[in-house]
Amino acid sequence: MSRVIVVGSGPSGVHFAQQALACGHAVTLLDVGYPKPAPVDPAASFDALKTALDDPVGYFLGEDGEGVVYPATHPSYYGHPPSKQYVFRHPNGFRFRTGTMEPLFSFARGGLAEAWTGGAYVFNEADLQDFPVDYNSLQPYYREVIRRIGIGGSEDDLARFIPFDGEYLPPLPLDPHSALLVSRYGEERERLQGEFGFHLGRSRVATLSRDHGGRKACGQLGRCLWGCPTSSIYTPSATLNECLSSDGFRYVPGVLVSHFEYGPDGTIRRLIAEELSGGGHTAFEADHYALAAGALLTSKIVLDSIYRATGRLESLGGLMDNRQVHIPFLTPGMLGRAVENASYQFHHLAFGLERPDPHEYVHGQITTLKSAAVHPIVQSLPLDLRGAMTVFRALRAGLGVANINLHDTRREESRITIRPVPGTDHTALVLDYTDDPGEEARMRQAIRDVKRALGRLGCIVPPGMTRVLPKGASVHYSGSLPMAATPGRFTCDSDGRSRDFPNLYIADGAGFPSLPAKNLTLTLMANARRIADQLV
Amino acid sequence: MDDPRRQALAQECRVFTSYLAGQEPTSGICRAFERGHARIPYRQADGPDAIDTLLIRAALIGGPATRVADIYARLFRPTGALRQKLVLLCAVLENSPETHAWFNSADTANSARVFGRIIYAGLASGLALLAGLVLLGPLHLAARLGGGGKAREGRT
Repeated sequence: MSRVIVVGSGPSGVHFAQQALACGHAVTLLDVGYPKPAPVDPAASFDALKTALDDPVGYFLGEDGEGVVYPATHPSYYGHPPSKQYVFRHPNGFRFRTGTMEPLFSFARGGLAEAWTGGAYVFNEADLQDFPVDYNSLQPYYREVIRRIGIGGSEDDLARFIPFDGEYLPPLPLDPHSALLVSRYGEERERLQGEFGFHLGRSRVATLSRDHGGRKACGQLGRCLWGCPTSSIYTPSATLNECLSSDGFRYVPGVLVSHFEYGPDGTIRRLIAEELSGGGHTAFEADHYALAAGALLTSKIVLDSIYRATGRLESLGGLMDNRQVHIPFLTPGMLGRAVENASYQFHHLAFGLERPDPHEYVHGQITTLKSAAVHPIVQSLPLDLRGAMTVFRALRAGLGVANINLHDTRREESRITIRPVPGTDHTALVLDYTDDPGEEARMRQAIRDVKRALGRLGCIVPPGMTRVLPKGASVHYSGSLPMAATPGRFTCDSDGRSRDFPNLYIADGAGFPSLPAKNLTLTLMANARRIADQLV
Repeated sequence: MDDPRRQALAQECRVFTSYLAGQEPTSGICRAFERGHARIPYRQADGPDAIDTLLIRAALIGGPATRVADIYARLFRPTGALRQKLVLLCAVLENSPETHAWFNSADTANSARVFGRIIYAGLASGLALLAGLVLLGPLHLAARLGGGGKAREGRT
């Protein structure tokens, strides 16, 4: 039995920890761990909350209105609701600089996936072509994660891109708008596939359609955007809670890991964490160390460790993130129909765009509008607000958004580094993302194909409303300490073991050598389990 | 409410709620508007300039004038103080017990009526814009040529 320290309680950290525990290791998980507030009135539906709460405006918009999405030069269709602010809270002293992307960081218990939308997609052989592991090596771990967390899906046209191999739960019942799109897809299927490579199917979502593993099935309360009050949407804190019942597990929240100390051969001797409540530092020792703080923060820990040991400011190339595009659309066939606010709010449908090079597969999800905040949408219409509300209510039942992701590849010029912060003991994380020169053309083609496909499905895409999100918006950061078959500086072997620090494992997205278009979270979990399973 | 600033906010809340929801605001809506207004972005920056102040004054006349000022601001001052106030109030109304139902539901009339309402809203917006261009456009231009000075003390 080895002593293992895991840093971070996001999807990679908790699944690494759980697998390591299953293998008989003693695991200590270090975490800042800002906790999720207790859910407000967990049985109430979205609509009921607005009349049952003493201060519904305070709940939905925050005490000081921090949840209001104001008009801006680069407007957004939604903001982070106050109930999820804990996910994006930063400890004092944490700094970053970037002019080329808009990253999100989380120090919450469960990490950024506490605010995810549950999209859980298996990578296929084409997605894994740059990985030093193949699908067969990951498959048992995919199955394990699918079995444990509960993922709904069905074996449909998307199985062509997303292997349907595991104990999936039945998908959630479709909302009427999504059902209409599925029905039209059935009529136009061959033309859509032939002309645009467009394949539609059910999203694979980590939201329970029936009770599973102590969690309740989705109660159709319509509160998904504000945080599921019944934990029907999987979040990593559920796995953390399972770990807490294991004898060999120790959870240490309230600490921010700053760096590790290592010997001449790179072997880590101990890991140093700042205590957030007192400001002191604590050292933790183990046989193996696993970094799972998210690619950006994991990279910072590695860079800070080298800086403190040698005074050198190193940098890591290859930072990746999926380019994300939102394409709002209208389905006229839905007009005049009611909208059911008390229903599952996230995407029911996903689609794939097949490309001649399978590596360039484009992935998308379709979210039909139900209980999303109204004011960010109406302010974006080119009308006065009163007129915009009238039009919005008239169109509401037919509104939806297709959200597409493009793949990304490692480029050395997309770099992560650190800079000392004068007068402090801290460094600032510096992100310098450089766009792939070929991405613009791929993106335009993808947008064109999705718009045409939506047209075939009977939808209208209003001109001028498609939004290319800034890099960083997809929150799929990866690639800075990649697994590679060929040894090299700042790389890991196929088991996630660092080639610079022999008892260090990179258990999160930093270890991905490329980034497919599919949402990466399920693979983060499966790969972390695979790496933990190799520990001796 | 004897503080002039709070009185001005209460008046804005009354006029703008009538414009957006067709009813008088409750005390809860006014409190929420005032609470949110304390953190409204334009106040964190430089405050309202002469053009913002002009649009707010025009909107406070009420009735069709609010619509005229709103559509003018939407197109020519989209991130300015008036639009921020209206968006804040819209956010409050969609979450208030008395008004949320209308904001959070769809128009379920038959298709002809739905299309009729869309056309009416578009025409009303268009007419309001025309009025805005005639009435507010020259004042806007004059304010810009005059340097768009800062608002007077006491303006919200």
